[in-house]
Amino acid sequence: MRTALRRLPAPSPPPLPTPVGRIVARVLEAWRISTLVRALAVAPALLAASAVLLVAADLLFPMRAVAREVLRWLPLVLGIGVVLYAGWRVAYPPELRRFVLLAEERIPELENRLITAFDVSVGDPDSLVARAFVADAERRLAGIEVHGVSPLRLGAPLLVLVTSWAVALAFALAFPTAAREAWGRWIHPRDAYEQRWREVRANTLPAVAETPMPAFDELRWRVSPPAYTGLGASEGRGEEPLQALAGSRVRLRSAFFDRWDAVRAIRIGGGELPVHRARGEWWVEWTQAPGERGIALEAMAHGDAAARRVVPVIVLPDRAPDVELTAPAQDLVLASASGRVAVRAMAADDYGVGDFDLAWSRTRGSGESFQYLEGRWPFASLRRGGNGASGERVLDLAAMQLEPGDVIHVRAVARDRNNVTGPAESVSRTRVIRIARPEEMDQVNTDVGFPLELPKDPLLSQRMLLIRTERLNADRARIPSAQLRARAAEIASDQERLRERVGEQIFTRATGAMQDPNVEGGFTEEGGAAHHDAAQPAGQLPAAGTREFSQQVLDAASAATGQGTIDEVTHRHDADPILSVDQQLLRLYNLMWAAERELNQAAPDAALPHQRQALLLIDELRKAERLYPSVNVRVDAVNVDSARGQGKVDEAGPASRAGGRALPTADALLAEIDRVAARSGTMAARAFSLQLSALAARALGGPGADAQAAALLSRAAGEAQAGRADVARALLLRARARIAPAASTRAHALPSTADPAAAEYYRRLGRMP
Amino acid sequence: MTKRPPRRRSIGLAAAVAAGLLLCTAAALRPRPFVFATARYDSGDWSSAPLVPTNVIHAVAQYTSIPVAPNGVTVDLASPELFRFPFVYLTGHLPVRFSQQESANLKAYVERGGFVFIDDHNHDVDGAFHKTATAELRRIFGAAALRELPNSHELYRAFFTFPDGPPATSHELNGWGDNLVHEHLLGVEVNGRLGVLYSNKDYSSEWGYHYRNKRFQSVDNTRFGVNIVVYALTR
Repeated sequence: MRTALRRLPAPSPPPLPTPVGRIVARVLEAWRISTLVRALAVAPALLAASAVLLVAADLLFPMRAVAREVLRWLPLVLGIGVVLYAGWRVAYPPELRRFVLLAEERIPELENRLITAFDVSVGDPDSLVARAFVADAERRLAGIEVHGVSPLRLGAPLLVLVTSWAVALAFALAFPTAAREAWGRWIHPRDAYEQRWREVRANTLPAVAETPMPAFDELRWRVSPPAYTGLGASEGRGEEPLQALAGSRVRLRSAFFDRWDAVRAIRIGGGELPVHRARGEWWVEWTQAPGERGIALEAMAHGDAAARRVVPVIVLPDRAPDVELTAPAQDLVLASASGRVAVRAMAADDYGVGDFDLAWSRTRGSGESFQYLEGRWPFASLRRGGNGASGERVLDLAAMQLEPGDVIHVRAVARDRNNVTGPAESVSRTRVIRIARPEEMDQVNTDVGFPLELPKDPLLSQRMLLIRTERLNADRARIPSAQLRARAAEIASDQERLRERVGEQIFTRATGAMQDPNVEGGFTEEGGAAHHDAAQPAGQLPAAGTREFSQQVLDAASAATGQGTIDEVTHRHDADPILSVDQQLLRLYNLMWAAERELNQAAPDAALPHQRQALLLIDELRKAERLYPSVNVRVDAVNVDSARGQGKVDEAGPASRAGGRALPTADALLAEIDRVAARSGTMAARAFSLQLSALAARALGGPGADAQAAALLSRAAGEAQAGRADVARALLLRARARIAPAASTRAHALPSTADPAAAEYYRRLGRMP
Repeated sequence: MTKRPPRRRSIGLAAAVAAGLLLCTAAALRPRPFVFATARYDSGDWSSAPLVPTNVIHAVAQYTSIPVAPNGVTVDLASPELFRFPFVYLTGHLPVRFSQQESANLKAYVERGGFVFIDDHNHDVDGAFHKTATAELRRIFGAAALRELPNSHELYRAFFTFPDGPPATSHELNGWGDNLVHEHLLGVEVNGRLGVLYSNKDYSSEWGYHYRNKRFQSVDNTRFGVNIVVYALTR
């Protein structure tokens, strides 16, 4: 059997005799009050003193942010710690005998009776001696009052507290900026760091270099194109231009500096965008609108704009599809309404073709029996690949119940998939299929499958061919090779036709049949003058209408062009073979041939140099050859009375007859640029940067708006912020040149300047004030 | 023969003077007709479009109630006579170089409220007339003075409405020029009013036909000329 031993509770001390207990209780109470009151005085004194000491130490030896992050809690810990310790001591006081000894020490009248009585009462209270002593002690202690046992001693803590506040107040009054900064640094230690502290010291204390407010760090963006493009998101950063299709989701982000309070983002010409913050970064997100030009960013600190940045956005165009009707290759005149005609078309778009079909119309009869029908045909077979599509439909003419004289117009219509700004629609050339009437069978060549070749489209100029080739060259990376070859071959065909025309010119010139020799006459109007000619001034020509005049005109033409003689022009050489070949025309002919050859090999990039040279040559030839013979035109006076009121004014505008609207002018912007440039040498880097940012925002909207100039100004702002004022001024100059390529000194008055940097700016402008 | 009493004679004299004054006043108050003036300048071929003035005069008579002289006049650009006409037409094909007197006169004329319609008879973007005429205008009025007119400009609503801006001409795309449609006209504005209208759309060729042949056109292409004249006279 096990025996469990249980610890007995400690015996409670016997109750103290009445006078002893009363005195000890009063001492204990006095001690508690004293301890609490002193703790409440010491705690704020300690808090204030330690805070002042920490700030002073930080002022003299700037601490790292992490140190402040920890140390800023020290004053509070000390203050609260003192109070808590006092509370703990009050709740758990020392043993009573120490209070008895304290009472003996502070109350001389006790004469050790209290400690003796206390010891006897807790020792052997029932002994005879003890009872006798206690009885005597009770009698003697009954009249003793307890006072002054535990003094408060508040002088020192109150002195420390007042001194700390006095030092803090004096510092705040003497250096308010530093005090505000110190408050910020210690209350929000993450927002403060050494550079800012040095800047504050530079502003408040002499001989400390100024450091600028942090500007926007490198910007990074992510552009998510609209879904219809099928493109993935792209990212960019730094000085790259931000380009986005309309409807794209753009997310712009960068570092958020602790010294900033907030970042604002404002659409140029629009409202403010919400800016988010997390993990030391800010970001803003928006959907790019078609007409939006950019975002203005502002970093706010202490209620002011600490840094500005303008981010121009280049809205990429979504071009309409290219549509080509590849078959039939030409208009058709058919003998009968039978057989089949294949209609083929192809389309390509930047981001894919949406709807693609054929639009047709049929006209029949004439006059009152004229009929007109129209509709759409889907392609019987439609193939899509990449960003292109091709379709084919075979027209069964018999099933269409056409009649002689009917005319079918057919063309391909394609729309892209743009659901942001609306699908763009393109149409191909229209092909005409006509059923010949019986009475015209002897006039035209008609047959099913062997149509009459109608006159082709007008010749395209070399400039148009160049434009088409440049466009093809731009598209070559994203169109199928078959389409590239087809489009290149079509341009080559047009180039060939133009080349052949040049060849005809060479021959015509050689045989002298170019210029109509019957150029004569002159022009007289009431009060006017006659005989104006490109080659000779008025007054030196013979009388208009004479043979001599005509010959002189033609001589002038020959002299201007370096071609032919008057004999050739007057057909006196008809029996001669080719007399001479114009080397310029021959060179032009060869250039066109080279371009045509490259296009036939589907190499538009190689064709472009030849085409550009050909265009230059044509311009030179045209300038050399133009002749403007004036003629005498007898102009009848207008019979105003009979003409009065004869015109139809249906489309006359009922609009108000208010004064004209003022033309937009960039003068104000230019003047502001010059003003900023003139003061650039005397402005602080930050102020210069802010003004450049403001200019960039202005350059994005309003008169003289230019996104490239805004980008240059934005870069200049960054350079100015970084302290590279020279680079900033050079960029400012470039931006100004973009806005006003040939601005003269008379455009507006320049601000006067004694600043050598600004003087250099004007010198580069070529406009010394 | 009885001699007229002096009092009656003085009354008759006063009546004659009063009648003369009335006639002069009436003549002064009568509206003077609009005169189409063509500017004559030393360089180039100022007279290259002889049919344009009468065609525009005819259009003004047809569509408006503006009193108009049946004949146009030519006026030297360097002459003070220029200031007698509120509207001046200037055209040509060849390089233009205004003399000092012509430049000064043109500047003063525009600044005092005159209106000059300059049309490039070449219809080229970088033709000789275009390059030299625009350079001259920039030299005279300042580099930034010659600006594109927005298609919403009051000029396009001055009489007829042209919601798409200046009407295109057939000469812009005929293969002889640069094959480009020039979307905007240019202008120099003085005190909020257009003082110089510059076009290289070649209205001089477009309107260069006898006004009697206007009946063959489905839409009269000189209507824009009416807008220019009405703007010049009323703004």
